[in-house]
Amino acid sequence: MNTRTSLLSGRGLYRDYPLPKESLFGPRPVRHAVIDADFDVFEQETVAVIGESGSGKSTLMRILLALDSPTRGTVSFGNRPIEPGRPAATRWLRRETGLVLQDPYASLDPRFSVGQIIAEPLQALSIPGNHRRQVAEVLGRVGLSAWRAEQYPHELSGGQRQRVALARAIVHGPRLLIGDEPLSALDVTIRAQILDLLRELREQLNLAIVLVSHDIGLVQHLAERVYVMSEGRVVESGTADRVLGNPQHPYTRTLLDAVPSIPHLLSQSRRETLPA
Amino acid sequence: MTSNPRVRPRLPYWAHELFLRPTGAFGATVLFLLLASALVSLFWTPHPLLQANPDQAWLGPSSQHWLGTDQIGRDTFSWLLAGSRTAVLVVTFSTLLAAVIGTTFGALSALAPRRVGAPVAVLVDIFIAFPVLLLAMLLAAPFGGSIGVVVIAVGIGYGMNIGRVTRPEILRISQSDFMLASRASGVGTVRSILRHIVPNVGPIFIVQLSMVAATSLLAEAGLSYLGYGAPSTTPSWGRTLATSQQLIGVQPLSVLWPGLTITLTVLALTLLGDALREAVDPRLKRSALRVRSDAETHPALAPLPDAPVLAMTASEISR
Amino acid sequence: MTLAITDLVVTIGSRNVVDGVSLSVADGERLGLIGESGSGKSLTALAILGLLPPGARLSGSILLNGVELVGLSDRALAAIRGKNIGIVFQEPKTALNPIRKIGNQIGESLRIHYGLSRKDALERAVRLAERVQLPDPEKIVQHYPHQLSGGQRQRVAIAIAIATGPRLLIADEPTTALDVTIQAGIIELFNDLVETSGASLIFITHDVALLPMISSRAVVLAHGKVIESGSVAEIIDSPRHPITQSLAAAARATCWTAPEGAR
Repeated sequence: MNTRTSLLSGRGLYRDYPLPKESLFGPRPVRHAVIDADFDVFEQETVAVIGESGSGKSTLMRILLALDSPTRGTVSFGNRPIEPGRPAATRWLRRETGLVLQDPYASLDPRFSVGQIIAEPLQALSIPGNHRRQVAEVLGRVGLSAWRAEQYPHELSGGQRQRVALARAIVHGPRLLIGDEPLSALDVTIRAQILDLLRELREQLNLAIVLVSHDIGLVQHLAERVYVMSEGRVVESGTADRVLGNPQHPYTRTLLDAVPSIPHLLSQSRRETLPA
Repeated sequence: MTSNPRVRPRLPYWAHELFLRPTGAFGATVLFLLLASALVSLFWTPHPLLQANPDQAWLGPSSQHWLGTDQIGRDTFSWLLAGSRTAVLVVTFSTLLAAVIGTTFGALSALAPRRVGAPVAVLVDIFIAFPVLLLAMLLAAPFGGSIGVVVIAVGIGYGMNIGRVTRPEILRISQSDFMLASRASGVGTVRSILRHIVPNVGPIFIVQLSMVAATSLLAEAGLSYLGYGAPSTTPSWGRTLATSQQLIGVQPLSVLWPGLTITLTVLALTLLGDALREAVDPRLKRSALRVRSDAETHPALAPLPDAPVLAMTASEISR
Repeated sequence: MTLAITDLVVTIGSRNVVDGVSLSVADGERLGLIGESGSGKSLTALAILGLLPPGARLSGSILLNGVELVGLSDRALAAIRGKNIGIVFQEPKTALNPIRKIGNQIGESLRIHYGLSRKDALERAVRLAERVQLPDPEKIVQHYPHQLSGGQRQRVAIAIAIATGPRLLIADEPTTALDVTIQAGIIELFNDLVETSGASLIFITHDVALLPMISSRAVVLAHGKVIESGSVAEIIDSPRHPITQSLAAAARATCWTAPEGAR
């Protein structure tokens, strides 16, 4: 890359989980969720991590965000090392990052109003200014009316809830947005809308985005660079065009073959209209 | 696309559920009467409580003694009125103790690191194996029967149960996505527990407590019957019921009065618990705003978001 | 004609959630049923099965192999359902009983409808597990659902659906809750099963992009009505109704473009 600032950076990351012992004697088996992973995302860049469920991509994301500790390896943000530990030690990281999760029905506390949910980072990080006004402003940014701040999550649809989750992730002005399957739980028409919203926000707020997903369409539309993970390892990485257009690793090829794509759509349908 | 919401001022949802529905209203009324009786009996009863006229024992209801007299000639009505004090004491303190024990053990077993939490959970399970009666007997052996024994036995016994019941809820909430999102927003551990876990476990906890309240009164009746509860000089519905039941042949009506008061109060507490459960359901929490359009609730009818900026027509979507 | 639905109306409360739907599925045909959430597509499937929520009212005609299903008693419907219609739902996590073994669950309908003994039912279950391409069928029938992955659980659900050799298979968003990477495998399995058994398939989804993989004809539902129907090619390339257009456009907007020459 050119001289853009490095935001999140991980080197030699490992994450092992001890499993229940199979017998009383003998070693305790270990599950290797992440194996020797390196990762970089630069300012205003969009990077995707793709792979199946269980490939380790969500674990990697948590480690990068200091929501989990690596068994080995280091993570830093803008050249400042991250020490996962007490929340006070990572507060500066929380200011710079925002997180959106997959399930819009589980990521919002049902007992809080939309306004309270969105204001949570503002309170936790002691951001100065009128919080109500900031909440109203960010609601507008994500395409919701300001009066929705009084509503409760169960009064909103899935797409609206995901907008609220997005609002919460950006309200404190982070430089980096991380999304863990942000569109996967939504209907296809809503997905298209949220995809456009992400593009808009990225431009308006100069966001860097890390996208963890198995949705290749989303990745192709948003990401500049791609990491492919399988069984804990990064098996391939490069620009999105290169990896999706000319996959080198056999796993990447199998992965991409399994996902419905546009030429496939069109050629198939054209095939149907041809006389038998 | 959405019109200005009509704001309808109205009673907060929980108040509506609790006091305006029949179950809640009944429960609240009886509870109020109970408290009022307890208060009043501190200052006045129709006849002095301990005034015993053995030659006036077992009288039926009359204008002098509204509910008759007991086996040593005390006025039943006054005795029962004063009995409400004991009832209030038992219910209040049992519930409090159960709340403290339930919270402590529930939270410990769910939130403490596995080394501490798992053994605590096992401890709770072991404790639950002991019936409250057994606990009361164990306590009464050195200390003799008293209200205190009842309160402690019931508080510990049911408190452990509450701990057991709330543990999976606390676990579930602590592992939920919104807790993760909270941490990612920078909220500290202690704050996130108070902020998120308490309000979400709260409803279940409250309902469990209301069940303890109802059951504690029954427990007091049973324990007093067996001699582990209030001594004969303390007005207690349970004790009165026990005595009347033993001597039912002499004055059949005498069983009715304490039986009725106990039943009524337990029923009221139970119904109040039901109403409470409805009142604190998060799914039923509503904002004060009532939005007119159907569109808000039916996704298929409104695929477009609110702000005109993001409104897309089909032609804009297809590139 | 395996299935012929005429003027189906389902009323819940005061709303017609299905409002005059007519469609037909020929023997061995695969029909796609498209619509967003709330369009009535799942309720149509439930109406065919006779599994509507209590309080729902049904009118119209549903002919399964010439037998009228509307108006049948619950018991008669249950008998027909078990033997003649197989259904696969969206959520593999909740479709299976967590405390019973896989083989047990697959064999259940065989024991109930055909009186097979436990041993015979288990044998059939192993063969069915093999049919749906589960790894190591002999061993897997002894497993519990939580020991399987989401994709595997969905295959078990499919095995349960085809166990009695139904003439009609209904799949309601069977891949929506699964990784996009496993979708293709499940859809291929459906294709395979339908082709070899000659059963008919109704594939319900909100994702237009899946259609070419599974069917040649599709029906689009919105607000409980059929708004468009035709070949999949028409629906994707030249949709007429605005709602169909937005569905097709959304699929295009979120699908990815594979490089030329790929498949």
